[in-house]
Amino acid sequence: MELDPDVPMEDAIEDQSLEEDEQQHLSDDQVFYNNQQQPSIPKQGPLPDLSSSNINQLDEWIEHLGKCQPLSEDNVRNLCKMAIDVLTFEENVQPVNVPVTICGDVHGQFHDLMELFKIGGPCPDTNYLFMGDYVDRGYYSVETVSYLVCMKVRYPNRITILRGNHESRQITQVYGFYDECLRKYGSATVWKLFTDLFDYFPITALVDNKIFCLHGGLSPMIETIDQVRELDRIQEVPHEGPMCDLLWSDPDDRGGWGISPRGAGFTFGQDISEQFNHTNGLSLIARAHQLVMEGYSWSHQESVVTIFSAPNYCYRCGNQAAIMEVDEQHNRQFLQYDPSVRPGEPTVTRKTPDYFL
Amino acid sequence: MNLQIIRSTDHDALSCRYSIASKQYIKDPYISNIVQGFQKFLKFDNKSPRRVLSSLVKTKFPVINRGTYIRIKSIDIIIENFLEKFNGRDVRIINLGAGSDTRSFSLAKQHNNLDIIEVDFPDSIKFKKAIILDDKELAESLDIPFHQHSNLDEFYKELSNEGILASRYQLLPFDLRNSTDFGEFLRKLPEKPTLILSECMLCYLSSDEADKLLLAIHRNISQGVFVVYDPLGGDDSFGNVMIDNLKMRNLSLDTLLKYNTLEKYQERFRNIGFQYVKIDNLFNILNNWLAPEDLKRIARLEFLDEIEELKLLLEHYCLCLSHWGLEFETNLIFQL
Repeated sequence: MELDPDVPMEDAIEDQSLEEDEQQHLSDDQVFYNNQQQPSIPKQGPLPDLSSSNINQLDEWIEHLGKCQPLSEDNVRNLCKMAIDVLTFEENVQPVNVPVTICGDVHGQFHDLMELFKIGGPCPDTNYLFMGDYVDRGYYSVETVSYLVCMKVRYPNRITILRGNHESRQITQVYGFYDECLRKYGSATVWKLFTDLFDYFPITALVDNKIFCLHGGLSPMIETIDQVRELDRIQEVPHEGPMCDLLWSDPDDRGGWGISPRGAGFTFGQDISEQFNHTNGLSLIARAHQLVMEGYSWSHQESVVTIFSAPNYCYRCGNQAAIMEVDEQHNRQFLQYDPSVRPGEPTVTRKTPDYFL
Repeated sequence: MNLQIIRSTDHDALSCRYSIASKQYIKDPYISNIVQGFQKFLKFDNKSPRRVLSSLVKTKFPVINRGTYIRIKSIDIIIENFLEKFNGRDVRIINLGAGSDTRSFSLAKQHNNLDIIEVDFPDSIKFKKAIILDDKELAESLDIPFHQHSNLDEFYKELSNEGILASRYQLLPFDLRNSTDFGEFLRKLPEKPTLILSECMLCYLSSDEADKLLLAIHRNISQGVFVVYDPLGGDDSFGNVMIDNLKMRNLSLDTLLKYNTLEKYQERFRNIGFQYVKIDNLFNILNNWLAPEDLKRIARLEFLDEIEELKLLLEHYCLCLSHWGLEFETNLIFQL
């Protein structure tokens, strides 16, 4: 077996203190809000190492998922438990080193995610930072999020997965992940396992103290990065407040703060971005969240960049996707790509996306 | 293109209308009657009725609901303005490819100066006729006798193909891909101000078929208002993706890329001879036509995350309005 230098093979310290939730079967029409998570504080200290049996297990799952086949419910349960053990050590502002390749929304487009790894180079040879929205809209949310979480547990120092506004109980019930879990597993158990796991995802990352990465954008209640560190993130995405804003806001041509047309978060102008970057000694805010036709788009005179990594979003939009490579010298390069050709995918079973007909 | 495939797009339109009615975007007092009629009669009309019926009542994504709302609302606004302009005078609405549209029922009930003619493929006409005659409320709204019957199969089998010819409502079988007969029919109609509606219909015709139909309408109606809702290919990749996607359903849209911009679409009408032609895309219409309180109301109905997608989709649909033989200045929204 090949050894990964990042993951020395020593005995794993299994953390048994985390509660395992009772598995609940939710009926189709049950709307499930869970805002009463026990507050947990991110753990300090070094990440426990993976045992060799865990490594074998993870490699097996990664291979299986690589063929776009979902894991069994039991394996998802084990995976989520292992992932909580990893993510609980991460910070609200997770530090990330260069070089790193920064990616935007994936939205269940599994084959395009495989294309992304072809374009950007395989993980763990390339370091990755994903800025959320792994589930909903595409047809393979289950496989996509399972794959990324497996990679995270297997190579915790090589890949960072932030939380997007779709990594939430409420949104996934409207936009497809919940239904997909029901369809693929016959119950909502896997949906519950994943949405409980999402609460542990870090909400922002800081690349070399210079690039602030997050899914949505800024919040009028957050002036410094230290204020993000003080948030209690381990909870369902709230409907308002700083944590909500970080996952929902958008940059805008208009200055100052504005009401968001999304009904959550805010719009923020160039003055706000420049002030935030100045206050925190940043060179750039990298974010995702918005469909941009070229896969990336600059705003606010290059103080904010939007990266979107789901090509032909919803199989309908005809957009390109992009990822941003940042090298050791902080040079940035955008790699754009089109939808993957899907030889293995039967087109007959693919539902035509809705149009007004 | 196969007739059944074109007809299947009516199921999409109905399911979108059903979805926004159940989400309270619109009040449609007759939609449940139509859906019940589908449940009763679809087995006589379609090879996979179960699949169609389950897709009819499936919830749509908020982006589709929002887009359906502005489609229906914008056309309703134009119809209301037309009726108001000719308040009390005898007027007529002709709905081309009407399919399962429910507008006629409310309009006929509210306006006794209005004649309504719905036109579609013979099979679609027979199907809608069955639903109307079998439903007391639908029939009464159109001043048509309700047919009581004891056997559904026999009732459907014995229905004639000639549609409905009531005093104020006509449901007529025409295949608009060949407009010769339809043109002749229009020519013989008594003269009165006529609003012709083509709601996602022209796009299924070939360029040549569409041109002939447009000519037939322009020539044979002396006082006309023509309202057209259609997809636009655009000059990005949206149109190509739409063509590829609809190919999976064997649906082809021959003119989508030919008249891919608002300018070219408008030019198409001018070239036929329509003199006054106004056009805009549905995204602008969504932002400009609705009262602020209505925008607020629909924003509260359901949460919409697909802001950029809504813009992209609606920029690829247009509403085109033209008129002739009538003396007035008009803008697109038809405030006369």
